[in-house]
Amino acid sequence: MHRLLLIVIACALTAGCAPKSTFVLLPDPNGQVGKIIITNSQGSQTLNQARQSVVIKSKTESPGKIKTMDEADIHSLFGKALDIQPLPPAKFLLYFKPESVQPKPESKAEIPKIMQAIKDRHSMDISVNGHTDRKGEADYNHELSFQRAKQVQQMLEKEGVDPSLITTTSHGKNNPLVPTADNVPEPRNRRVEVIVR
Amino acid sequence: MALDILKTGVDGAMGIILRDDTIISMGPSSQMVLSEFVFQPEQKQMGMLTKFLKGTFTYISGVMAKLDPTSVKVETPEGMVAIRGTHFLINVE
Repeated sequence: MHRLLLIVIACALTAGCAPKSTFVLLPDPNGQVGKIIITNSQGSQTLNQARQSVVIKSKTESPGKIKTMDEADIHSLFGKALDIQPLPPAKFLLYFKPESVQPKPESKAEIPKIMQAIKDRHSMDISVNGHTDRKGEADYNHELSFQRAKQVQQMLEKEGVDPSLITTTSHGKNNPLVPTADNVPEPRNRRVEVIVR
Repeated sequence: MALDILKTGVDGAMGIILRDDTIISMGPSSQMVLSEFVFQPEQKQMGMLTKFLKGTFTYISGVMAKLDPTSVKVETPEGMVAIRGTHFLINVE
């Protein structure tokens, strides 16, 4: 009995025996603060301000009071996880003249930005997705969007990107950015989308 | 994808990007389970369940949480998180 009591006291002092969960809300990568609702069978708490936190001590206790965690405590507890948090994927759109497989000059200027995004992320996963507008036959457009994607892929490879990291897809006229009736030319749909993860 | 168990060692850390652009990172001595991940928005089939069992985590929700917040489930042994916007931290002791 005494031994059991001692163990219980030791647990209370170190807080190491029973599992507990701590939740902290941070601003989004774009600076906005979102909202999370922490619940279990005993109750719930809503966090909607930066660095608000709540602890649940066990599943038989309701979430505790909302507190604000200071930057230093966040850093000491979550620093290693935050340091390795991947950057959000970067997306780029390159545009083309009708029938052309060469990106417009202003779109060629995106290539260095794409290279920088690949470098920043140490990226191992780059998607190059070709599209056309809805003018013309499906088969022709499928081939055209394939050639557009291939062109951009080759431009990236020329800059030194490992070909095995690039996945190229061709969507033809099926996946317009701006919905139009069939057979309508639309410059914003003649595009290659590059996603760097 | 049925059940992926992810663990880090005492000196380890790991970053993960899922297909819907959900971003998760794990600090040292951490363990989580990706129990469910379905992302086919064209067919309106979506569902994700992550269980954070031990350690430190960061979480930035992705496209799935924007399209249908109820399809994204985050659990710890003591409770769960409903996501209405995007960036948060979890520590499970």
